[in-house]
Amino acid sequence: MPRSIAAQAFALVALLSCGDVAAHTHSEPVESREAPRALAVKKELGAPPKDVVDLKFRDLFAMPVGPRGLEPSDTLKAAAGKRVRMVGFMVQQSPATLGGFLLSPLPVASGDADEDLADDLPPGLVRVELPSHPDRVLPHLRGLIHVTGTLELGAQESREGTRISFVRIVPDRKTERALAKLAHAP
Amino acid sequence: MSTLSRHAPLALALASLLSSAPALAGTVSRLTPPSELFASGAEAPVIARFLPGQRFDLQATIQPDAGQTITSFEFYVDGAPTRRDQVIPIGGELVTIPSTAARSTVTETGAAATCVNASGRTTGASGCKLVAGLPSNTAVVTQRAYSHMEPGVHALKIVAWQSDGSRISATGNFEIVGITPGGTVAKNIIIMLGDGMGASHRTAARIMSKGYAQGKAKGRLAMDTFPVSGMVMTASLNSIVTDSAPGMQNYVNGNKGNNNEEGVFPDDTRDAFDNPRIEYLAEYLHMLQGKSLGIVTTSDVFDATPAANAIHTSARGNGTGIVDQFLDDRHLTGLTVLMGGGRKWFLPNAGDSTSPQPLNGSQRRSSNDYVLPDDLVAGWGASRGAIDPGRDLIADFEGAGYTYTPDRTALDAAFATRVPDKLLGLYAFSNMNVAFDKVAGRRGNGTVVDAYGFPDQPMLDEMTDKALKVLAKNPNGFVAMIEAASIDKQSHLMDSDRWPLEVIEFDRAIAVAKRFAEQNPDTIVIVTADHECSGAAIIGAATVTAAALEADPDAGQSVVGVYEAAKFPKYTIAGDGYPVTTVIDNRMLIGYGANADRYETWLPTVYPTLDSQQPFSPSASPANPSVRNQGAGFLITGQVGGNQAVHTATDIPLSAYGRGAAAFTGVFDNTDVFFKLGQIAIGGVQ
Repeated sequence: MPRSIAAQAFALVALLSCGDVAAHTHSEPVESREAPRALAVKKELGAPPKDVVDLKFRDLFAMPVGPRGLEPSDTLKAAAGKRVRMVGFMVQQSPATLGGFLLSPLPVASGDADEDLADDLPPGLVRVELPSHPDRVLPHLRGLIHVTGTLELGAQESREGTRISFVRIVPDRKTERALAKLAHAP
Repeated sequence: MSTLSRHAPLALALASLLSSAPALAGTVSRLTPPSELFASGAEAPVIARFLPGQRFDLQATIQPDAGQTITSFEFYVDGAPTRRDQVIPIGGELVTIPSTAARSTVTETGAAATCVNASGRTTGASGCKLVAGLPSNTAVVTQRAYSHMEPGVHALKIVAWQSDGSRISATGNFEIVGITPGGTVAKNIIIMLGDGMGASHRTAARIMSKGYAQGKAKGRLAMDTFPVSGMVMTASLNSIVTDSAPGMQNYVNGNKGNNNEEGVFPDDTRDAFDNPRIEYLAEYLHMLQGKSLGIVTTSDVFDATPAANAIHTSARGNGTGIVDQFLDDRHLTGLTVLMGGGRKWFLPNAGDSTSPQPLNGSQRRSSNDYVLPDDLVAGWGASRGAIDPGRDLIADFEGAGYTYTPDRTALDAAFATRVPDKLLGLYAFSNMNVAFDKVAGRRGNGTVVDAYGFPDQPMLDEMTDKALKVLAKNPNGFVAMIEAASIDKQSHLMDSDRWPLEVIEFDRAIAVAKRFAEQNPDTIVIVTADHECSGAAIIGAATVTAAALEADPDAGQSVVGVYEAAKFPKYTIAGDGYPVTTVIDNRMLIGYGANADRYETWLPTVYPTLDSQQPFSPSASPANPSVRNQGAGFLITGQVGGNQAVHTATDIPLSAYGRGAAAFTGVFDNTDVFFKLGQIAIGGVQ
């Protein structure tokens, strides 16, 4: 299938499978709601704002996969420090992590209790930071969302000290504002 | 410890047994090996069986009276104490294991506030020693690596002493299955394991790849040409419906295991790596005869079937510990070849974080790694293990002499000048792509394999050929387990185009194994499955053309031709051995008796359905069969919950070729296969 058709198929299937989480079920109920209009992707997005690059999950790594594992692509390395827009699913985490969330190419769930078995989380999850509310959590947002902000590359430990992220987005003001409205105390 | 002091507890125990002891108290809630004699009082059937000298652990869970603790214990077989020093060959040397070192008593020593509830029962919480629901003074007592040489049924008795001097005891039994000497042995054992492959799967592959004319098959699958076939009962220790872990291990250690457990009996401790072990065929024959072990699979190598040939754990999902144990215990198993998917478990993850993973995509994590207790290390001569998510396991394999091949090109190159002594192949991050998509890639349509990031994966017959070349270098012979894993995985997903090609790919690997056995007559090859998956059934064929199906994907039952309306579907086979296309006019149609809801179009999807173990599935993959083709296909309501078809309890066919093949006829239990192989490899055939 040509890339362009694959991309359309991605969007179609992603939309059809909104809210259908492919990974584990969890005993802990997770707060979940529809994504607000400012973040939801309901149709093909228009061109990104000026100086913003669309970064796709499939472009994060050099392909094919290397003998010693994944390697960041030239595209990803070049995007470090620049403004990017990414489309993906918020990982349904239980409990929710402080001050941000994980963005995934697939609708997946992850819980601390069974994380050791959560081998179906795709590689290349992107951490979306919420710097204005570092001690707050976000509800899970169903469906595809888009996030625009500055891309950071490099290992950084989470506030809880239990996770290390390697690719992060620090949202632009508009995205940050939309997320901040949803943030609440853990 | 002096001789006197070492024997003192034994003498005390014997004296206590013979004297007029206090009345029995407390209970034994589990006695391992499992037996009906212990569970129900019935002498038969005998559940646990072993070959002479095959090692296994003795264990009991003892619930003392309130306020009492267990102070000592002894296991007796036929009235004789079992405690004895062992001399066992480990890594080519004879090592003496003192009996005291191979024993343990596990009690709830975790924080009382966390591990014991208000009712005085264990909670089974994280950080605790015992599972939930036991009295807080419960003791799990173990004697490691016991073996017995005398054939016949033997009585097993546990006697434990409480702190007030009273004793608790219980009785079970086990059997040693004798080996008749004097025959001609098979040096090499090849187990071809079609995961989930029932009779329907074999038939579908024959219809597709060989075709029928006027009721006669126009050709035979390689597995059809095996001269002997039997039917195998596949139940596990705790269900009529097995999963792949006991489904495999029951063949290669002779004992029923619980679902999700590999090479162990169930226990009452939380530790997934301390369960009572049962020696595998590969370990037993490596110890006795110096054979090598080869494991080849199309799945992630940590998956249940490959692991249940060499790994001992009660949690089949503990990937980090499982792949580590492959290498660490090679001196016990003789592991020489390991090929399949699962590269993500072999990459270092210094930060021990998997959500998100490090940039190299490593899935290693301390929470599913392993460290063994002292008694297990001492009794079995096993490696202790370490919590080391930062381990570079590929480098460690290479350091141990394995040639690492990440793709087909590297695999071919590794054999260009000489046959490697040891071989590691990791051809995908998790499960390898299926034949349907790999073949498409080789024919120039790399849509799926490119999206997964692994465009150059070998086929199973190519892997089999290379594995057998390496294994054949050992003059003492080998045990090889070669698995077509995705017959099962694609049957779960009810993908009626992808699993038939998996069977065809498997059959091509079987042909390689058969050729090896023809050239090496001291070889036994068996083709079997761990269980049937999905209740697959060939219900007939489409009454319309492929174009008509594509034009009306919601046609459903209206296009299903049954009986004579099915006629004989005619597939064209390309030079590579696979159908030119599965989408033909009047194509074969498959139904499922163990199905979840699905939308059926009778046509394949471009992308395979999302594999929950595959971290690199394209976004375009349908999430599961219950949403695949939603809005387009015909809804078929499932009989089971969830969104995948399930395993069934149906007997499965087994076919055998080579030395000793005649033993595999009739209807037999999956554990019987182990004893047949033991006879063929050690006692030989007349």
